[in-house]
Amino acid sequence: MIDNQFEKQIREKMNRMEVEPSDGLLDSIFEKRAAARQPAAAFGLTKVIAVAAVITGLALLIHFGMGSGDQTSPLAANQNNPVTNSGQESEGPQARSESKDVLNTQSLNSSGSGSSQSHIADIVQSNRNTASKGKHQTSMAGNHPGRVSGPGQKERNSGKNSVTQTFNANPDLNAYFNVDATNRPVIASESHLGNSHMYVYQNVDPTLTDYIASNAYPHHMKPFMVAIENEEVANVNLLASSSMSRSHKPLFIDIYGSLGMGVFTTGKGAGYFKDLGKTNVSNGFGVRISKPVSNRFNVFTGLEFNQFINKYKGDFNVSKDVTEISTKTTYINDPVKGTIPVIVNDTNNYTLTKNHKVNHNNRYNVLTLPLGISYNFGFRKLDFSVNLAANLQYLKTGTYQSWSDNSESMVAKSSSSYFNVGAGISLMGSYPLTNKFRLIVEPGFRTLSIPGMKSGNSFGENIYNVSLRAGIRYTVF
Amino acid sequence: MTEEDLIAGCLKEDRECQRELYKRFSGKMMSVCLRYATNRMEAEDMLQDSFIKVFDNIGKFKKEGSLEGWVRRIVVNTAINKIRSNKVRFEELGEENDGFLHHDKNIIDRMSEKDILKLISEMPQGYKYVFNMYAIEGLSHKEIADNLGIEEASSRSQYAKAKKYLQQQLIKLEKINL
Repeated sequence: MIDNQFEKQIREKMNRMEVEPSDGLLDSIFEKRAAARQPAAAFGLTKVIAVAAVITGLALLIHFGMGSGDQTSPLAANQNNPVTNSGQESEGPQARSESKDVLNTQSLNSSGSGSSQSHIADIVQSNRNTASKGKHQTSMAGNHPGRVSGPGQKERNSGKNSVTQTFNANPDLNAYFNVDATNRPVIASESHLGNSHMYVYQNVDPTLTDYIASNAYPHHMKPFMVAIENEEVANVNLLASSSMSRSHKPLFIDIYGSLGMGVFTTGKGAGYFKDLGKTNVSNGFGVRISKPVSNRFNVFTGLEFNQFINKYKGDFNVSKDVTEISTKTTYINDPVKGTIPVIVNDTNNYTLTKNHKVNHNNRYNVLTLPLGISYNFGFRKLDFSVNLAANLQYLKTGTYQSWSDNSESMVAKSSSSYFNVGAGISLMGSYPLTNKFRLIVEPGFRTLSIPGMKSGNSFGENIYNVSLRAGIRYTVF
Repeated sequence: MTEEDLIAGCLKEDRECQRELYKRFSGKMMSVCLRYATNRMEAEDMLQDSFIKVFDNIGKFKKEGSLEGWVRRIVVNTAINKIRSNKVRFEELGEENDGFLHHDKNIIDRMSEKDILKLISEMPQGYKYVFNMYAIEGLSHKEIADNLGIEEASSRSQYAKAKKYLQQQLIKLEKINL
């Protein structure tokens, strides 16, 4: 405790004193505080970059190290690709820059684009020149004919049967983009595998994006468009998609419900039904697994449960021929012999028609195992599949109309289970909801044959059913 | 702007409030730093570090004293921490500095604050730190000893010598000024 006058005086004077610090000290305080907050973010960013680099490296390793080396690129369906397989070590951007011809008049996608061909050529040339300066980051390379992952991209030889490309003297758009069988531009790594249109656009001049958007499948356009505009490698979505290689073909899982209606015809005994009103409705649900086997074709199978309801309502007549023999005894008075009986047989033949009222639903619960193949194509965001299937059908339970034992009326009887083979064809359209989920709508047609039940029903039925399936497709990458 | 408004604004990282707080206290705190630092640059470093701590910890001010006192404590603690990181030299200036001089009560009143500050900042390090902590900040010799890592007896000894030294310097300075 200070009780000394000296200290008190000193203290009072010193506590009153003010000395102005240098100008700018406060700003440096603010800067230091701001800088103190950055290391965590920078560290976080560093971690993200490191993780991204590891993932990219793994993706490249998987793509090149495990590639099947299939020379038939998913995109080789394009017949107009002028890019030739040189089999030589590519010189990368230098090789491309050798070709300076303007685009020829070879038609581009018939859907049209907003840019003239010469404009596109100019842009692409400009893109090359810029890339040759090393401005653009490289994209994921591939070994597919006609692959252009972007200017500045070095062609890499990897995999068993890698091929490097050179460009001919008359390039057209195919020389700058991969194109699919319908001449849609595709700049991608693994793409067009069945319905998984994995288009990855990298290092594309922003002015070309309109063309691409109008002609290609922009499933993942949105996240990449930002990257394209900023001339940067796309975000993690790109890395996720680029990690897909041939060894990782997607798998699709469809879950759907269905409603249907149709007509049915009968086999034996068809004539009895001509007066009946016939209604055939169906409902059901199912799951389907679809696997791409090539760029256009999938194979699929699954399990579907359906209930087919055939409504019988109305009148029908059952006719029966009847012969009635009536015996009549008459008497003749004979003056000699007296009264003589005479027996007369009167035969009456007629048809007896009985009218029956029927109001009954024949119900069949059927489990179906489809084995089918799909042909895939698309338009903009929509994917379409033509599905053709052989349906292994197992009738689980059913009730049906049949003659009574005395064949004079119709009664409902329960069927016993049986196997059957039918056929089905459908056209499925799908629309992307997210990267993995698509909305599917699928009108289709199928046949279902219910031959005479084992109990000997003569009303064998063939059901021709038109149905509409709707559901969700999940893409397993 | 009241102290409450100032504190509330600083909590929200309001630049204007932070500027106002700095403007209010930076002058006095700079003089505190000058008493501990060996030069102006070091003093400004201390002041910068102190205000960073003030802004970062403004939420911990419990309003048990004045805001100025709280800021001052931060500044002093920052200065002491800086001292601790440096090796403190405790000089012994010879026998002529032993003992107390007769204290002219008016000499300090006659001296300007700037001159007194100059004399204090030019004192030997050990004297300066002990004198500042004991005479101006009001720490006990035990606290000073703990802060500087010396014995309590050393703190007392250093203070006595510092006080005498300062008195001598004050007399010399007054003679020069006259």
